[in-house]
Amino acid sequence: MNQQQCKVLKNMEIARDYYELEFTWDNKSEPKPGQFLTINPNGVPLLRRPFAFSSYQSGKAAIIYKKIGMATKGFSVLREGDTIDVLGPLGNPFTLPEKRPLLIAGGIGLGPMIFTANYLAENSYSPILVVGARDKSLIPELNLNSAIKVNYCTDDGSLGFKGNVAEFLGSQRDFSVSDCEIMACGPHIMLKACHEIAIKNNIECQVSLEEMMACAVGACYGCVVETTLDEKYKRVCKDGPVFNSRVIKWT
Amino acid sequence: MDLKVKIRDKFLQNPVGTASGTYGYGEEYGELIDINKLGAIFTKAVTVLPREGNPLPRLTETPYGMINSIGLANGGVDGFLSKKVPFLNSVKNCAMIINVAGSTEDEYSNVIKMIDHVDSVWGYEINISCPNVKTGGLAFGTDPIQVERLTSTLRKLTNKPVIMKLTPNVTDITTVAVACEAGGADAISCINTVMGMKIDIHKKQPSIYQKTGGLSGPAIKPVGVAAVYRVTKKVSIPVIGLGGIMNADDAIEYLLAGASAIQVGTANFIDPNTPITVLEGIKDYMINNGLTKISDFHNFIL
Repeated sequence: MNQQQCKVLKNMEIARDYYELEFTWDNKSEPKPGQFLTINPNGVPLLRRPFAFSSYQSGKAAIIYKKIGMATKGFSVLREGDTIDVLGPLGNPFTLPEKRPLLIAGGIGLGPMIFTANYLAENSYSPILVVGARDKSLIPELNLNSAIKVNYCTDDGSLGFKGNVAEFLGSQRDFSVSDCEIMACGPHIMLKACHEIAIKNNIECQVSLEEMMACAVGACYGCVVETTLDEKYKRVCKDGPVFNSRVIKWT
Repeated sequence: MDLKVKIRDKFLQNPVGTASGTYGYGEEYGELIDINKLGAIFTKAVTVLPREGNPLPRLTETPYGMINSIGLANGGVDGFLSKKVPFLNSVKNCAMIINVAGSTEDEYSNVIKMIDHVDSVWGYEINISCPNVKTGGLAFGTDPIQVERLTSTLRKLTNKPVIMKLTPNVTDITTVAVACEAGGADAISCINTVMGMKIDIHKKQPSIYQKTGGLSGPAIKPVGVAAVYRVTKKVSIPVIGLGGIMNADDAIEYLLAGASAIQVGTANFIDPNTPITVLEGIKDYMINNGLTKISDFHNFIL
């Protein structure tokens, strides 16, 4: 990890309130899918905000964020050439799967799953990507490797399957969940559903968690998650954010 | 220019430290800054036995600050000796000051007895003020009689500096400071977090599990500066100022108020480089104002 002043290359609204922020990246530490960074909001609010990488190529990286609070409203007006104070890459990436990767993205969990899907496709996997959102206005046009099989789910049926990702996985499909390995990022309730599907199908499941953070480097113990292990709490920032779903105590 | 700060019979190389609980034991931040440039690292609290810490949520953000209730999560003395001391031994120049917490006098004493043999332990900062643990420091830190007794007990256990860390959540912080000095404390850290609470009006519940927690960040800086000013008028031992220091100007305020050293806490979360920029800013200020030693800061505000 390192702290760098990155130049904004692009900051575009790609779906309703969803922005893609692309910026220069010093190649001495290469982000891997599942890893994250924090951006200094420069005053108000106070704490840095964590975001998962949504892409990385030599010299540049990107995140997808949702304009939702004071910090992200501030980010939404960044323009090409502006400087952002970035700390990263942080945390542990997804582990390469042994079986066919079944990637589940819910809401703003889309960013890291795009990165993961493209990375796996470039490394000769045939990933399945399931993208869930409330309606199609929240789903951007995706820049995906052609080896990725994409499925959309919307609560209102405005794009793809009508229903949530768990209902989609329980419906008729042209792949078998039990032949796959789940990698997921999204709302807690969706991750819990992914975990339950993994248990039912006796397959592996990695989840990327989000938690309020202060330091994001493992020092403050503010962002812990309760586990099923002897060590009751693990740090989302340092021990995660990607965890084997069986390690998490789901509530 | 002489930046050294004398505490007991030892010297910090400069007045800038990092506050307990914000910096671990330094190892995480060692990747980002050269910690050997710091005056001191005040470590995460060490308790006799391991503590898993409080249930979630532990953190919430407030205007110009944050509230935390981590619950002194740490690996206990055994974890400290086996997992942290090797790192401490690798640090040069920067004083490693171990923050010690406990819920009885014996617990505080036992931590010091069990780790005092470690050469890389420079001294101790005694947490008598953490407002987070129901059975913990609050009672000690609010009662001058108990504070004096605890200080004098711990003072006898070691030849290393013993620094008492005060809570601002008292009627008159100067009475507690005077008790520390009477008990033989070598220095005082001032202040710990201010008790605070935030309520989520949509959930109609407190924002953190423990309901109340410790408020830190720029919101508490004036509270800390006032406490340092008042305490330094009543005691002659060095006072280490902390609370909401975000930049060199804030640190200079504390030094002018009477502090002999300062700690950077919450600001580490926002910019890990803050302790270094604070140190550089203090040096620049000293040059621009013709100050040659830290005690020169104390000549202006009477």
